Amino acid sequence: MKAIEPLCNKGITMSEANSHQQHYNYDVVKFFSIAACVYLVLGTAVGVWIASELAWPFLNFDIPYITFGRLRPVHTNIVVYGFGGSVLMATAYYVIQRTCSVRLWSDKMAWFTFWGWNLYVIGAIITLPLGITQGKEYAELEWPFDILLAVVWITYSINFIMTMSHRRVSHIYVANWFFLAMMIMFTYLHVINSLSIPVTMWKSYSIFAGVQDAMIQWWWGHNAIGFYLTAGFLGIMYYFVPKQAERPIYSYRLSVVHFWALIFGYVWLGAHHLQYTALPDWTGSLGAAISLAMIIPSWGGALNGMFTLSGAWDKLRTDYILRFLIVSLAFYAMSTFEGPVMASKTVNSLSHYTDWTIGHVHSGALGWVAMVSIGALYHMVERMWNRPMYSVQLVNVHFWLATIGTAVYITAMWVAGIMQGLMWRAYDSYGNLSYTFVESVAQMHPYYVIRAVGGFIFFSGAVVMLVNVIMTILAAQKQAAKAEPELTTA
Amino acid sequence: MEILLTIMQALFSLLTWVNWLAVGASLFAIVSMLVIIFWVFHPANRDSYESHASIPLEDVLDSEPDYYPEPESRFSIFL
Repeated sequence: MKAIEPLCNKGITMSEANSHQQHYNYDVVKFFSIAACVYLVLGTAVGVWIASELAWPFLNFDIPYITFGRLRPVHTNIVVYGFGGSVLMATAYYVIQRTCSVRLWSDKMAWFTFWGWNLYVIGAIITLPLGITQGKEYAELEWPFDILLAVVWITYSINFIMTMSHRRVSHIYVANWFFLAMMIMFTYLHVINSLSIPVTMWKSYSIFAGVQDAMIQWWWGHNAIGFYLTAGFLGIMYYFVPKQAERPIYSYRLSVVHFWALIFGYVWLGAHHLQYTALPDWTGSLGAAISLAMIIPSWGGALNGMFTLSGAWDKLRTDYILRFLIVSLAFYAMSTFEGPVMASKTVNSLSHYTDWTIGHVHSGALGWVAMVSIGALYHMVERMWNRPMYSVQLVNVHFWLATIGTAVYITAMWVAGIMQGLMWRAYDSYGNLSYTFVESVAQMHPYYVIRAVGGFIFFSGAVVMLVNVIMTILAAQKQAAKAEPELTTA
Repeated sequence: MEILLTIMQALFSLLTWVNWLAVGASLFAIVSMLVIIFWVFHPANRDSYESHASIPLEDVLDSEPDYYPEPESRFSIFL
């Protein structure tokens, strides 16, 4: 650990700070970036497989380990923790070093987070198909992994905070505020949600029961989306959009208001997942009301990112990375409008328990989270390996595969979900249900096929990205090996 | 019966208390947001805030070239 004299109180500018010789720790960022690309392929592959199982159930081959119920959490854990987490750690370590003009506080802690995080994801891949689960959505892993996740996350947070405290520039850039909020809130949410009593090495029981368990589950579940999958990725957006567009963010003041509005508002939303259940009615109403209010800061943030391109929209014609970032903002705006609408009691009575929810989640996950991550990953790969991408054409192919795949997926789920909701609530003139449940399931078949196709298109894009990143790294290594003898000769 | 009524009364008062806790916390959030908005958008603070917007643009390292390649065509959004 290298002691660095903090210059933050001396009020020096970024340019002055940059005049210092910088030696950032890019190695750990590189490893996290590669891991993210690999997990994106793995996670979407499992997603396509389970989507196909829903369309063609024989695909589980009566093998318990690969049934939908066991593989679904494997898919969510790989994409949320494997891909999303690796991206968050790569970008947070990258952005904090560059915007604070200082090397990571501890290399050892950074590497610990890399190996610890991967151990957690591998644990999910092994234990979940075996049926070892707590049955809590997005927190399925048993108690030893809960402890591992908490330790790794706290280590990551401490390293980030200590790096920030040793910064060489006076101001903490807004992207780091978002990362910091994510770290603090995720620790709090994860620890409370995971409180359980272990009975064996691989079995524990939550300390919460009944309605409290449901409330805690969705307090965790929605805030994991709000702080982990939104605040963290907004941190990515606030750094990489201006950076790639080569212009400052449209309104820095709006970004500050966006931050605080998100922090004050998001924690209230969880109860909107439990409308018309045993929860007190007012909690659902409060969740829905605050959800609607959250449209304002969310759209403020999305417009702030998009308006950054004001006067430079032509860049979208040619900048292959910027396209990912701007499309991600369009999806962010769309899903943060759709979410509050679905939270309102009237719409929720139709949409809840249907595939509309799955469509909504994927418009956020594929359209917003994955797209902004992919843009950031391409940006970082070029800078860390010190060369342009191996193939610009492949990046473009990836962009269209990702966009078309997402659109196909979410459209199929919208139609399927609304159809399900309408079929479930249809009555005949005698007051009997018009359709049996199984009839609604049969009607889903074509949409489940379309969803699997959409997912496969998105997965193909992820494979293209992985190949392109590997080829870029190999080319960079070849270039470095070539330059070495020349330097020796000189 | 009386015990049941007492328990229900207690639950009701707890619910009311929690309701007011929610209302109070919401009001606190709204007031805090208004203070932040007025502070951040006050004309006197404009320059101080907006000057930070360029931080990501100034973090370029000396050894870092521009990776944005010159496109062959300015009119293609495909390849």
